[in-house]
Amino acid sequence: MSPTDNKKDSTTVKGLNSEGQRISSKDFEDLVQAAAKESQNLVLETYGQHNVGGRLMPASGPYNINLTGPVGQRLGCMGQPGTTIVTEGPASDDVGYLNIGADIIVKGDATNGVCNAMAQGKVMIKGSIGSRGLTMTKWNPDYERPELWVLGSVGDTFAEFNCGGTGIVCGFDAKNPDNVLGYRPCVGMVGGIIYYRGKTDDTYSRTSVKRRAR
Amino acid sequence: MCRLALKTASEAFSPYEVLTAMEAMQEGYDGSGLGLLLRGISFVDYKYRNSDPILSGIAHTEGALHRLHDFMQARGYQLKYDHEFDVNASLVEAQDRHKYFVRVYGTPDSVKALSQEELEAQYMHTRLDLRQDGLDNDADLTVFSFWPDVVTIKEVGWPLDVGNALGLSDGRVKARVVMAQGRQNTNYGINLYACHPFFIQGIATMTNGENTAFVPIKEYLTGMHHPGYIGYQSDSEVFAHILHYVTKQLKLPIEAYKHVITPLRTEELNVHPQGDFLRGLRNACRRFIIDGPNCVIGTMPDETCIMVQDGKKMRPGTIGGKPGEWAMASEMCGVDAMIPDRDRSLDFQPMRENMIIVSPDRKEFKIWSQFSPFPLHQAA
Amino acid sequence: MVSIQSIPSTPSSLTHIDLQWIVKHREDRCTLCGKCTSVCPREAIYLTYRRQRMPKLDILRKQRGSEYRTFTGVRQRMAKANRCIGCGMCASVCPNEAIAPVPNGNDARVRMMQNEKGEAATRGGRRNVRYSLLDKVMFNRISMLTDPALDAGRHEFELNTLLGRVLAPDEYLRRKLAGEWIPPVREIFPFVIGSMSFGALSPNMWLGLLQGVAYCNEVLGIPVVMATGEGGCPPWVLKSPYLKYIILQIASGYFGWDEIIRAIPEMQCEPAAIEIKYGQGAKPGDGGLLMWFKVSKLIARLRGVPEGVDLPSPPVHQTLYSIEESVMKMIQSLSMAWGFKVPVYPKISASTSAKAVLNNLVRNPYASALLIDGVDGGTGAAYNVSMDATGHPIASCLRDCYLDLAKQGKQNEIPIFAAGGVGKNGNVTQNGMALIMMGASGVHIGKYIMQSAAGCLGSERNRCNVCNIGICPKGITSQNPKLYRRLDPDKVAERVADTFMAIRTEMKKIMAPLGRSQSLPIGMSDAIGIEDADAAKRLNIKYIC
Repeated sequence: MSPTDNKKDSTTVKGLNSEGQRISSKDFEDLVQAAAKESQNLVLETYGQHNVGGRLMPASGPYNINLTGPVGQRLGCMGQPGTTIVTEGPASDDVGYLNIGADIIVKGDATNGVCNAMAQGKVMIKGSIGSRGLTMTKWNPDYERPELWVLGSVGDTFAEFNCGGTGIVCGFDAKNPDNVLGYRPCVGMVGGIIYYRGKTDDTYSRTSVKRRAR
Repeated sequence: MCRLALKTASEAFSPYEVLTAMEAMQEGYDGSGLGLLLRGISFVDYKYRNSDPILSGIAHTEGALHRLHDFMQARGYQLKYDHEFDVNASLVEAQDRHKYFVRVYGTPDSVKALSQEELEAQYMHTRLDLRQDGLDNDADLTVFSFWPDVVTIKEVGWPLDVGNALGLSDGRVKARVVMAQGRQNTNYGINLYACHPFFIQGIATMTNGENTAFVPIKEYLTGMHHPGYIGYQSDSEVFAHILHYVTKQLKLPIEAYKHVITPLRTEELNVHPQGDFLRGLRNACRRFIIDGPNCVIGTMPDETCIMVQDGKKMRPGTIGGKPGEWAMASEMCGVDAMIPDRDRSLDFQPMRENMIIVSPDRKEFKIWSQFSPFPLHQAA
Repeated sequence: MVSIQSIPSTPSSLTHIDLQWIVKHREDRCTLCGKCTSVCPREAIYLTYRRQRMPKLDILRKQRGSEYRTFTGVRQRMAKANRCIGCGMCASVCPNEAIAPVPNGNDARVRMMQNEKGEAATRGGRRNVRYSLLDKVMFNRISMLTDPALDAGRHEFELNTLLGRVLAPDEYLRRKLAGEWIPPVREIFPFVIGSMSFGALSPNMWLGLLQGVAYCNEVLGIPVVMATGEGGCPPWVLKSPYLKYIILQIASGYFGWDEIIRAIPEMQCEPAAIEIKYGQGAKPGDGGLLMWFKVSKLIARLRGVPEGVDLPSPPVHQTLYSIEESVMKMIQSLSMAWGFKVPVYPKISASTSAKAVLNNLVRNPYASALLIDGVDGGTGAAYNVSMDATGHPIASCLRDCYLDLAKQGKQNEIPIFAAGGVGKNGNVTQNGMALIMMGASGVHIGKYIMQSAAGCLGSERNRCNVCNIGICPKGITSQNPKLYRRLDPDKVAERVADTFMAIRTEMKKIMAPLGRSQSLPIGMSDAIGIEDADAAKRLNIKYIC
């Protein structure tokens, strides 16, 4: 019997209870884990809940998760391989925190700390992000590198202590077109490559990284 | 970290909207307090004239309320409207809230001849004297603001609970600008005067984050012996006082506030068109340099709204909206909850060098950078 | 007058009397085997021929002459990388007790010159302050007649402590009836092997500790737990049943956590707890630096970083920009990772702001404890100035925090664990129990375990202390296989068992005269006193003389 037998096509979990009040992140997580046993396709109507979308074990996957409604912090925190998360709108801080393999697509901006401490997985932001993106990342050579794709620009302190992640900053419709990499990126970066398109203020850390031609 | 939310719109709206949006940012504050500051007031039950000053605060005993009444009467302020909140006391933890007062007064004849500056001084002194009166009487009276077109509500508890306790969902009081702070207590006691926003002579700020440079800044402000530079039950109160000092005492444009609290480095000033002036300003105001991590949201008497970060850009803050309606919040989901139908491509997160300015016409918001010159009439 | 050129003298020149350790060599016993010079981890000494002139004067013959006697002597090197550290390995290999380092009793001048090439001095080890306030605490509320003392040898003693969030009684009852979530609580031995990272310790040391801890639990019935330190945990341990004896640390660098999260689906049991490190007592507010030569292939793979590259980690990364944010972000997220069944607690440096942190934790339902690390904590590597001058002693910080909790009636709900020099002069049980009676629920020990279980040569007189450069002569803190093969993990495990058995006995010897046996006397501050009036006042305990 395969994992997909006896499962529903899709399950919806609401972030507001019957009285219109916000459900705590802990209770919401219990509902999501229970829903994941019913179906591998989840629609989550969040109202700012945190830590959504992680810890869905690969053995019973793959999982497809769609979020509507305001997205709280740490979307995809500790995400496992085989999970794909898509949000219809922007997301709050720390998208992909400690992610080890989930793919996350944010159809809007994201704020600070995107991909903080991430080790594997692809995160794509259809917009710009705040500060401290792609920081503290890790890369174990037995696995693929973690990747962050940003359609627009990134904020200050990008890729600080990046240990092996790949960053792609497209500079398209950038929120900060004069400086797509933000102030002082790549401090303490010890591995990985950042590809970018557009102007920068040239404050990247000279002791950590080297710029190569296109 | 506290959660901050501000909404500014050309059409007045109920503050309850902002409190529901705060819910989306829950699990970031701990119910140690809610502070609300409203501007551009309209009351359903009263036709308010926006030059009349409004007194906001809490009388903890009946006696305090009487004393307040006599106090204002003695100074010639005629009570024109006393807003009654539909209070549900069971939702309030504290037992000593006899009355949350929001009172509109007419200006006495005696002050009509005063200059604008003198009038503003008088409003401030009235508030300070009342505040002291409360302290002298076993803290039975707490006063938040006394100013035309400003209402302040502060209470300990969860934001939505406080909103429900005061019946704010009934829409009987509306405003064009609402500042709200859901507090997360850290080093200081749970004290009504410690709740943001902080107010002084029409200027108000609320802040995220710990002010590591608090003691030196406080000492410098206190040393100026300005009657309004008192309080400091929270380390964030200094941000309001610095904004007051820069705009009202030094009479510099609002952009100068950013230069004072987070001055550019010498190398950056050397190539700045106003570098010479700014270097001198930086030296003179050195004691006001903040060390974050902070995000400061402020509003001015003319309903201008601003948002700035400290120099390391360490606290989150986003602005978004559409012409006529803008929202600032600590978290993206807060902005999302306040104005879900906005043009998301306009959303912006200020970085270390930016000041966001929403002017009273609310057509758009300005992203100003410290590297750009700002309008300076003299000495530039 | 002698001209300047003929005196070897520059601002940087040193002789052996300027160094911190002076090597004493006895030529009359030396057998010239050379073992000392080859074992010296710093190549600080070398054998050399010397010549001594022996003038001859024959008065009657009116002749003068010279004869020479050559002898072999040991010379000390002055260069920074070769200065004697006083480890004493030379003495341990010498067959004739002909050589030993001696501390320089005369204010070693070299201390002014440790900033060669503009680099500030660093070291490993400890603060090098022999004084310990904890050593002066005495247990003196002796039960004599009204409540006779117990028999440490024959009575039963409940020595364990609780790690986890304990609910208030009424809340516990309510939740139990309603079937709601009860926070996880572990029963552990109150002396915990504190965090020493997998990169800082050699694989043999780590294995020895783990074996010893497993033995204590499974054979001796002493529920000892050990913390991993920053740097993750070997995958085989994560997937083994020994994980339940381990506290996994997550620190500012997040090193090794990708491996841990990947292993979650295959874990056979839960870890004892999760420790979130925000700071450590030895170098509060400072970050870590693992030098490139310690980033071996194994370490690099475990940490998810490139091999052979200097590895900085920030003190605390700015994505954790406030107490509340960190508490929410990390404690909530990590609790969720194990389905809220594993206690999660932060570790902070002792400081004047510790109370603020504690008050925040009290309001967070997932916070399981607070570990406070005082200034006497050890470290693998730190700048001298950080180790010597930054920090806060543990005793008053712990006491303030505990009394603050007690004022709020919450002292049973959040256990406080204390660390920082417990046992630094050898009095491990006495130090630990003193802190426990001041309010700690337990203590973490690091340096003491290294000394007791593995024979670390360090002392509070700046002996050895080269943990930071990977040349540990006992193989405890080096990643060099040629060095750590000197350390036998089985022998370390035996010593760990010895250590905890002795602590257990001493705990009973302290508790019995106080009439305590039913539970660990946490906060029993009326049982202790100190001969220092100022300290007694500050700590709110009795002054005795």
